[in-house]
Amino acid sequence: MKNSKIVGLALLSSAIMPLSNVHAEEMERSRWRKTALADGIGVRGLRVLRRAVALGRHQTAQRLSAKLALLMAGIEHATKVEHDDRTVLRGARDAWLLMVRGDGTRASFVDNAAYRQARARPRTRDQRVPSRDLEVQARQVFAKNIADVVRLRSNERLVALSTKRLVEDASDGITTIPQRVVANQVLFGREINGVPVVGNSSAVSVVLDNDGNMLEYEYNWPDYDQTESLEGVVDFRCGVERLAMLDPSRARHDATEVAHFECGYYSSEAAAELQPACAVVYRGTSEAGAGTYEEVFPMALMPRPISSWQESLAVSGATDTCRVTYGASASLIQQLLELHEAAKATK
Amino acid sequence: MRLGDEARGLSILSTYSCYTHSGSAATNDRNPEGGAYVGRWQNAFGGGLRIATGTTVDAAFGSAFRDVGKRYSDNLQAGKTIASAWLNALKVGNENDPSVIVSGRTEDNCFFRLDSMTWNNFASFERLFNGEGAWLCRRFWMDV
Repeated sequence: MKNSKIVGLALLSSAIMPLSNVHAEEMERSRWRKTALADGIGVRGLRVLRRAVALGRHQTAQRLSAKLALLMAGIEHATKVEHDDRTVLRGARDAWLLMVRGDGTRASFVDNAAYRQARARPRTRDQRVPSRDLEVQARQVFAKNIADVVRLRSNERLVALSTKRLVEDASDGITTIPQRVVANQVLFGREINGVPVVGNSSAVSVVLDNDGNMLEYEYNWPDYDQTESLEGVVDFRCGVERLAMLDPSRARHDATEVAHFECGYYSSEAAAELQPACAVVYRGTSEAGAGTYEEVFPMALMPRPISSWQESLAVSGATDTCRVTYGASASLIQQLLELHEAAKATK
Repeated sequence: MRLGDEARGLSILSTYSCYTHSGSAATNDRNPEGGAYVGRWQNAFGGGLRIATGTTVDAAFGSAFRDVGKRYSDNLQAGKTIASAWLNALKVGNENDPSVIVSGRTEDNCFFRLDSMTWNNFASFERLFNGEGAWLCRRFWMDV
């Protein structure tokens, strides 16, 4: 047990953020995460942000396809299929596909034909496009294709979080084709008033080929109005101890490694408002074996229950949300508190 | 283990679980890159399985990942290729490491199948038994 705690502490400096893809903004984000370990939310209250009226699915689909028409011929002949919760537009022979979900605040596009062409221009891992260049190209894709429907208000920022590579290999057991990079993903997160939106609840993903051409994009980006109200938040220790209230069947994992920790706003799909929360990703073991788990726990003084956010349901019904007995999540709580003490000491 | 020539006639195996397509022979080894997946999966594909979707390292659990299955299903029904549907559905945030493996008669045939198989047409792709589908090709997202 002691060893696992040491592993967790050692990871504070390296695993919270992969250092191989460091850009200026990532470094900024990384600093924010370390601050989160020391301070939690870091302020006594956060401005309440309420979900604004969305553009709507049909208008969003219209605007996005109008942008795509500048890139691709024949888009006016696309097949359009309406489902209860999504609109799908498909190009001839499924060459491309645009899907707009819900009220239009989520959408994805994939250019299958371009993907096939991208395979003809692979790169070795050593020759991969630098992350910094990818971020610039991805921001250009965002500006050209998505910015019309994903509105960045003056108090918001699109923050580059990571880059990933789409890699291929093949073998018949005798001959092996070396690994090659065929595409690259840039993932962006969101900051509102300098506070990150955590738990993947606001994101933009752009996939590019090795020449910077767009292959795919996806976003989940509700618009929020700022209200005059402030919402009180609890301190780090109180928030972390709330983990003990979670459903034991989900929390009964010995945490062996905290991979990621950040605090800020959180929203689940059904929520009308953003709420203060912290998100922790950790590797743990249970009787079933090792796994990777994420908990997003409320940091609001009075959390509001949201049906699609299980942690909020567990915490919102409790009468005293800070004085709890450590239960099944003891090892994770213990580890986070130790990381917290270490972060405070090095601050 | 052989898949595909059992009574059910399995064509697509999708597992939301860690390390199923790991590059390492050892489980729980966070190594997406090695070639050990070939030896592990050639037998499985020998029964005529058409495509396997899984992860090289992590499949995460928690609030942010609760609709991964729905995303996969929506993508399939929308007409994305099975590979694209899976690789996209799991790419929620940074935690997952989705991957896809397909068999083929040659390397080119393998990638053609990987890039063409959809929910609507997968049955039209021939089943490759035993040595017929000796080539395995894999596509995966990776931090490099």
